[in-house]
Amino acid sequence: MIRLIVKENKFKKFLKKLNDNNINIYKINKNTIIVDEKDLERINKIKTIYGVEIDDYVGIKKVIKNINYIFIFSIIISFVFIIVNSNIIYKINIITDDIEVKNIIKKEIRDYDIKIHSFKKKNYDIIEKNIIKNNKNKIEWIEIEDSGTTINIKVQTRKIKNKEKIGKPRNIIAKKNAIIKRINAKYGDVLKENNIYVNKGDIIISGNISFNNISKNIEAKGDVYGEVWYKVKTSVSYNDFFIKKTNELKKVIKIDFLNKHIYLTKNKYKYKKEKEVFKISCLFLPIRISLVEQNKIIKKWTVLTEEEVINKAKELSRKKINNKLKDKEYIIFEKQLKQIYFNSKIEVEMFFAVYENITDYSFIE
Amino acid sequence: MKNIRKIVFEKDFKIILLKNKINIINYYEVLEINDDNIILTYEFGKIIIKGSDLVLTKMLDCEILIEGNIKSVEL
Repeated sequence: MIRLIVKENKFKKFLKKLNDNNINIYKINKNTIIVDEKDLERINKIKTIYGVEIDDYVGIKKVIKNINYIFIFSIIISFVFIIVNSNIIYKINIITDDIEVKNIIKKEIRDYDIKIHSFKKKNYDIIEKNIIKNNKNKIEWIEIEDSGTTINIKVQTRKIKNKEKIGKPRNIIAKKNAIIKRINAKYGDVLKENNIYVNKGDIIISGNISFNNISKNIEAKGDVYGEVWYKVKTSVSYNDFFIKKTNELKKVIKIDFLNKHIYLTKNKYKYKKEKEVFKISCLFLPIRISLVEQNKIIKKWTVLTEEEVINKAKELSRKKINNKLKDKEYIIFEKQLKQIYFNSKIEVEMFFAVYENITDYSFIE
Repeated sequence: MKNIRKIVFEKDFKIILLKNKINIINYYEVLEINDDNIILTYEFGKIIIKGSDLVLTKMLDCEILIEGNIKSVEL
């Protein structure tokens, strides 16, 4: 389609002329007409006495004509750059304390071409299985996690009880500095009594027994419980908040692009809990569209009194200790040692005496 | 399918009168164009559209659209 400008005094005559020549006019304005581009040649033949000028292209032709190819090309290049970059490994974290296992993993992943500045792989499940298969004796479990341009490899090393050591002569020793509270000895010579202070490594049940001047090393068996002391420091802020769920629910379309989340909704909830209902992922682009159900949450801030802050700090300290405890272990005694005041928080130091299993072994060579 | 063909390739003469607009389908030719009247021909004679500020806004070989203050349409 093309727009033509016709001299105003001859406009109507020109329209009539076009009509006589069966030329379609798709839009007529004051002195402009829109006609088919294919009719332009015929119009040129009949326009002789009429002042007709080409104004501009309209429709798709105009869009094509005005396309900024440099802009489109740079967008494509940018997309390619983003896609390529987001699929390249820039950092590898092997999360384990065991240096030997770390080296094994480094070698293994190199074999699968997982290295810095290489492309990410898709088949991490198979790689994980193969690494475990190749290192049965060293690795219990491995997880290769793709986190953007970083690969996190979480490794759990295998701790095999040395079969050779089972049944071997050993002593039962103290795992920590403690006051002995209970000794359950099955085999061995009990060297310590209850309510005696022992240091870490002290022999409590000896595997070396003597009978009629004959000495023999055996495997000491039993367990020892002791009173262990802990100091715990906890800081609690005066400002606290509580979260309250509401009945307000809504379904929202969520677009994840790289690490950005875009919600297609007018009234966004400030605080929300969301559940994914449906999702579509793109294989080639770092984009994901999902339908999520959002539950509005109210977060209210309050200012705690000094007493409330201290009580909360005590509670948190107690929780820290309780999280460490196993069966039959408990807090015997607790005491607040000191409290330090800061501008916005209070630091509370607590003392705990804990009834705890302190059994450890030392083998007799 | 027949109905679709009928709609797409309409052969009947038709005048559709809207507010300040008149659409004429299957006319023959335009005889006169003025601000006050437009004269067209069709299968059975002439159509005279009278009014003020009459302007053509679309003119295809089988369809024409006229806008303005339409006072009368004479067949």
